[in-house]
Amino acid sequence: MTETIRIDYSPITNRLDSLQYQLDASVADLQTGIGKIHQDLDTTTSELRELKAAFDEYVMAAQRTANVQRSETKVGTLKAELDRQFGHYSVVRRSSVGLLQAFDVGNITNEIASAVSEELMIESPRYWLAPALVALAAWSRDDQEIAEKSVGAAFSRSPEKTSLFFSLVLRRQSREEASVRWLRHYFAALDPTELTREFAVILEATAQNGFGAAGSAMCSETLTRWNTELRSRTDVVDAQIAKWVEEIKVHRGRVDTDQYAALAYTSPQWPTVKAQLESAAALPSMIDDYTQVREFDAPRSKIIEDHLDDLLEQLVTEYDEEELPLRRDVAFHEAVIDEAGDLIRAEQRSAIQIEALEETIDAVSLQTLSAIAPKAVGVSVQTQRVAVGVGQQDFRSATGRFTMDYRSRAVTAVPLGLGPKHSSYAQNLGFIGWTGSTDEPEESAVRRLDAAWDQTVQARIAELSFKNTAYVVPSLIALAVTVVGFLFNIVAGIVLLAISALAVYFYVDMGRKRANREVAQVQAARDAAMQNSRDLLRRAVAEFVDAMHVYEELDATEPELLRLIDTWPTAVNAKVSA
Amino acid sequence: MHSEPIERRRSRLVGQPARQTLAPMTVTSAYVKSQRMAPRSTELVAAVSQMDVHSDERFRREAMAWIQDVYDERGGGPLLGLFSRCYLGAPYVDHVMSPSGAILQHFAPSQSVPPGFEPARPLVRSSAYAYIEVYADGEVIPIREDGTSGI
Repeated sequence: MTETIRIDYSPITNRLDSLQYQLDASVADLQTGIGKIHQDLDTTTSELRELKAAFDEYVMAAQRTANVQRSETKVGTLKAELDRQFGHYSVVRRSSVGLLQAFDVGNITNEIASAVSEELMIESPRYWLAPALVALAAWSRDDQEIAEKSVGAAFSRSPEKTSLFFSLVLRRQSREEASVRWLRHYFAALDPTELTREFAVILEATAQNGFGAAGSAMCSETLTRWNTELRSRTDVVDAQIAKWVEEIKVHRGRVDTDQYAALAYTSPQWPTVKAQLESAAALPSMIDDYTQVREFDAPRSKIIEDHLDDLLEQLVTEYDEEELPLRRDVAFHEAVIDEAGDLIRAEQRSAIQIEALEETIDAVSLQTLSAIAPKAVGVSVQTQRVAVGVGQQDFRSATGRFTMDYRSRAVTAVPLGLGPKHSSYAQNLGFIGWTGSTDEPEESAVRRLDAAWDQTVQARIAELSFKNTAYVVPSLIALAVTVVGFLFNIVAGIVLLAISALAVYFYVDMGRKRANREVAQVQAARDAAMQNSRDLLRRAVAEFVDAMHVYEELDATEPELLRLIDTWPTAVNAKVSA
Repeated sequence: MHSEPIERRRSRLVGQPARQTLAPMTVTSAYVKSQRMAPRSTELVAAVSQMDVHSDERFRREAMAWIQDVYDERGGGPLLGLFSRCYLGAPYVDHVMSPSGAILQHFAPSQSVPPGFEPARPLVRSSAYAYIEVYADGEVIPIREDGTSGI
């Protein structure tokens, strides 16, 4: 008799089953854990990115603030340096006008006048004004020899300034003929392509009739002749127009990026739109500034001596060449302060000022710079007004060129892009990216955006959703158990069938509920992400439309600027430049 | 190895004449340039910017001939064409009038304009200008409604 040896494997299989169950549970926990870490990592990455952007902005702002602070210190130092090196000239300068006024009143003694002027002569070596004052004092006490010697000395130190000084002084003392003789002397020695800066006094005097009838006639005649000669060359006229274009560029505005945050974030062509807006903003700014120049009305005294004193003060104060390098540095640093630390714009802004502080300049450019940068040239607003009139055609051409330039680069629609990292939702869900344009109608753009989001989460939803194949494995197990039961006993088999059917049903139902929950979670995340992206898109488009409105408004102010130029009150000499 | 030098020489000969014919006229005298700056009469501006209004073919041709005469008299040098907005409606946005005054070509936004007119396209769109003159030496001058040049 053979006995069948039956080995009972059930404890082992039970143990294996329970092990597998534990393993499954651990793996599930681990996956949840990893999922959480993944989410935390994403949050950390996006926060890090925000931090980096904020830090970059801070660094740039800190850089600009540092530039401004450095420039402020520098301006203070340079002005102190100017004072230290050339401060003693201010005594001589004040004395020149003071001496003349004292002669008017006649209440000082000749001895004191001579003493003061001789002391200044000793104290300011190489300065042209000192011997000129000695000459004045000698003249007042009728000492011809000393007067001639001093005039010679002053003339050798600075022929132009001395000629102009005596021309003004003689006019002030009502010696018209002598004044005109000095003036003629002055003009004869001038080269119109290389004038020294004190020529601006001539412009000032012509604007205010400082030389009397004969003198003014000579000045206007010479200026007209020079203008016709020099302006016959197109490169000279183009250079003037270029200066005016630079002046208009300095008036460009600055866009507040906060107002266009969504557009700046989503559009790669934002810099173009920004440049467009800033350029167009130059026009109203120019209108404001030059309307002020036109409307300027300073109280003018009726006394001729006061006019001449002003001219004399201007002559002796503004035009000393040794000061120019320091004054050019001051101009640059003041421009840095005005442009809040933007070095590139500061260079552009100060370029004109620095040009006006060059040692020599040609007659046409001097007039243009008197119109654009009067303070740097050293003239008053009245002279500026006259100079704008002279350069009227240049100003008009420059406006046309500037507007043509920014209009040829103007855009009416920009591309928009929502990339895979445009929001934390996009990063978490792995957004596939979307591109479009501002001139696309809203419904179609939003529809495509929604479709992109749907496509993004499609794979994950497909993975998570309940499949009917979940029935297969439990059903097979149930079937196996039932068959074994039937082998024992029919009743046991039927009972087992019932129990296993129920067990399969509950198990699969649990699985389906879980799958539905997870799918619902993903869908909720997708809906939130969609809404967020739609908002971003709508904001970007609205900001672009707003930007275009602003641009059109600004652009439409060009006719007003042209009208201002065309109706400029002092444009009598405009025929010269045609 | 022997054939190479001969081939190169041949291609040099072939290449040169073609290059010469393509070189544009770049030398324009200062006088001609200054003539371009003179203002244009209101009739001229109106005639050019309202080219689309006339549906009568013969009238249009006469108008274009008259425009051509006016430009010849101005002495501003040879024109490549006059470029302006098209009021025919969609899909056309701009049109080019050729220097002979005979042809008027219309363009849709997606179509490319002839070479030399491309930089002028954004200017044509701008409402500040009536039309754009494009000269044979490459100069582009936008013309305002009042007949003054835009540069």
